[in-house]
Amino acid sequence: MPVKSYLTYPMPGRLDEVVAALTAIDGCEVFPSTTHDVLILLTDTPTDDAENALESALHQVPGIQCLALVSGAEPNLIQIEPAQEARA
Amino acid sequence: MNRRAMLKALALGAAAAAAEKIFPGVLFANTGAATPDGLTWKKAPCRFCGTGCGVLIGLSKGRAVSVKGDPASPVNKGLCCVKGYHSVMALYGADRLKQAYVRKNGAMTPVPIQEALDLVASKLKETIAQHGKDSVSIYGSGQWTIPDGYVASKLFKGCIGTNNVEANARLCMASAVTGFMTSFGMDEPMGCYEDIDHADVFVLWGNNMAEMHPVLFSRMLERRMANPQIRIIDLATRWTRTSMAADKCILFRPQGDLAIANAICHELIRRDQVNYAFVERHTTFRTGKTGIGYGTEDKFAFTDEPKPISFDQFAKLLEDYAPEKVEKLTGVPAHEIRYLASLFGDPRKKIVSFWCMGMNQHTRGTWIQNNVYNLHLLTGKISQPGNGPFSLTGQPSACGTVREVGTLTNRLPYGEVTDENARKKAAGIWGVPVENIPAKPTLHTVEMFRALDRGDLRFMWIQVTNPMVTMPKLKRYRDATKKEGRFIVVSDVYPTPTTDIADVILPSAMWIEREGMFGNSERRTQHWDKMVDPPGEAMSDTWQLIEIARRLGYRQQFPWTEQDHIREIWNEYRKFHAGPKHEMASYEMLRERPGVQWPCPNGVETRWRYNPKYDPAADRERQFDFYGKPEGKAWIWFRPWEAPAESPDAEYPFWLNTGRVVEHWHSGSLTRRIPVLHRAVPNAYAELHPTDAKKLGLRTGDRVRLVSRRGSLVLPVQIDGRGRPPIGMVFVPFFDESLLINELTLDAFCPISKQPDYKKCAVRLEKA
Repeated sequence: MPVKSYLTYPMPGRLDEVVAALTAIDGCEVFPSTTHDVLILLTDTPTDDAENALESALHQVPGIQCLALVSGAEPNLIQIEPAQEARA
Repeated sequence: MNRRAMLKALALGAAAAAAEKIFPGVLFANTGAATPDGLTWKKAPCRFCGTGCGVLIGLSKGRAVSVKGDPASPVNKGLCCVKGYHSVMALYGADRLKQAYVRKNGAMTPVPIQEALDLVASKLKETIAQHGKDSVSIYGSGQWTIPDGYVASKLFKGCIGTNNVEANARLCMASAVTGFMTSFGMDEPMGCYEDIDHADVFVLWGNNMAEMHPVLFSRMLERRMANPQIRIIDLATRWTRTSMAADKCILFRPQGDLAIANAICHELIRRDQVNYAFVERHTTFRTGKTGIGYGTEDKFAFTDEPKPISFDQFAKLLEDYAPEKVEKLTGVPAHEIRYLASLFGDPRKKIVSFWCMGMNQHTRGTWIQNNVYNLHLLTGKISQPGNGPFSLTGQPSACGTVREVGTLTNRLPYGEVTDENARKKAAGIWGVPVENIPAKPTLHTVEMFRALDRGDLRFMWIQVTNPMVTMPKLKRYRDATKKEGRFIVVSDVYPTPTTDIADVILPSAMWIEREGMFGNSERRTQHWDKMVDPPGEAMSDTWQLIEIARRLGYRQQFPWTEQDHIREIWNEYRKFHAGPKHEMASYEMLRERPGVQWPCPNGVETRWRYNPKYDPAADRERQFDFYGKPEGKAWIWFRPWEAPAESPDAEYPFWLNTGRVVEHWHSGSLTRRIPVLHRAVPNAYAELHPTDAKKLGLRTGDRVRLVSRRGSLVLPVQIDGRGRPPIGMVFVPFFDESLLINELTLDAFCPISKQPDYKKCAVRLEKA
């Protein structure tokens, strides 16, 4: 459910392909650079499950050399659920 | 603009700012402008790894609600990894410790914190009276802030008068310390992260940077993207995400790194690619003891005996390391060793070696550091932009607190306890008689827990670390804490297996809930202000120590107020490092900047030490001045290959290799309370090669029992997940307190650094 931004580095010569692939994924907004082979990927997911699914989908996109997470925010931070499940 | 739209604008703006740092002048389509709306942003270093990324914390209504990479930080230039981005969520887990607990009739009972502090002080006094001052100890960590570690050292070494001060960094980077000390006479890297912007070749020695130091890895990839001739070589024992991105992955058998480094040296000499002018002017040669043991027995002791040798003797000793011989020992083809030698030997190529736990957690940890330094010294590729050996650290202040403040049994804030001048200096600054500070080191970490087991140690105060997850051969040391007559105090922020064995739990203020400083891998000290209130009665570890010191009668040594104590502690601590070789920045400078690198004489940071072009402490008459050693010459050591403490055999035919994953911070007590990270990797697993899995009839998700001579554990199997070990190896991450892999590991350590080897022991596998 967080909003995240990534700097995304395509493999050489594959910027257009990566832009097309990312644009087709729900929850992704793509802002390609007009001067360099790099793009900003902005993601926004409604649930934690959707976030996990999106992360998996991003790792499947061919042509990406590196996704560097930059920033973002957790809109519902105040309602973070109890994490006692972390203890065995 | 609604809240979600505002956060999206912020995230977009942060990414654009980060890109601008990396690609000056970069433009993006349709980004618009980020408009902060009601958030106050304050700078801090990230809470997690030793990279020391600068982050900006978004504050609203007394809570930390957002994080972004700090574009002004030269470390990360606005980038952030998955842990850093989620870091503030670790403040708000539902089971946060907010009050103190005392064990009464076997059960932990909540008490006011002042009552708990009274009990801790009285138990300290009572134990010292009954068993002597060396029966009490403090065990902290590389997550201690600099003031935490400083007051701990002052209280225990200066006031109480015991050298029983250790930190979990002994498990993390002690071999890097002894490596630097034995080769250069001074600790910590000579270079800095800016080396990434200049190097042509990166050799990663057993270092999964993609997961452990992802921001630095991103910087390295960015360098290669702009310069396609750049080469990244992953020299590893297991295929990882780093291997996927590297230009070449060379897998070697565990412990083979010692022989590979020697083989490269052998090749450099054979090919006449030694920088003889550098070697002659700036190095001397040594050899030390061999067959030095593994420290598996209690009270193990070792002292090395360095002996001078000539270059010719060094070359002769390396004849056992011809590439074809080393191929048989390590599994690395001779042509790959020659390829590595060609990279080091090419005078046109700048080269950086990076490493972290692979070389540090090693029963010959000091030796492998020496051997890698040898490559840089033989070729003169050191202490210049883009050239140098660089040990990365795992914790945010392993360098700042443990290595610089000296929270190890053998260290003082300046120098070794064995050095009379260092003791006099400490006594003078601390305002205690010099006789208070013992001249001999006492217990290193593994021996400290062994002493607790034997009964030589009766009282242990554990702050900001979780040894009941992280100690090797865990059962012995867990059982030790439960013995009659032991008293354990634990200061932490969440319940852990270590608070489970405590007699007193003190709730700690965490990270931005108090003021503090960390020191990162590149000698950068970073300050942050208190930004939010700690919950309940939680108190900083620094102030807990001051409260106890005063109860013990040391108010004169700890006179500060709650308002000014961090500034006053910093100003006192700075006195230890006065002078051009280690000068620390002023408090005011630290508050202003996103970190300052030491030495910082006259307010000017030193990027590359030992090179007079960049280092004012270096002799300007010399091209290089390794001023930590007599004559200003670094030592090139001959260190042989020796077998690990335990290797696979017929009964236990697999290597067990343990480590980390990007989502989790060490023992998981913080990151497992961040829902997104916890769900991404909810439990530990056993990573197997598909061939081994097939032989054992195992598929991903099946359960496998790992059995070592020390214990057994059932884990789910993972095949071709994020990593692939070679045939005959199983990898298990250690973050999961419900699946404690350290029940199986061995407490063998490097006899020089006393750092345990978590990467090599023998296990057998059974389908469960």
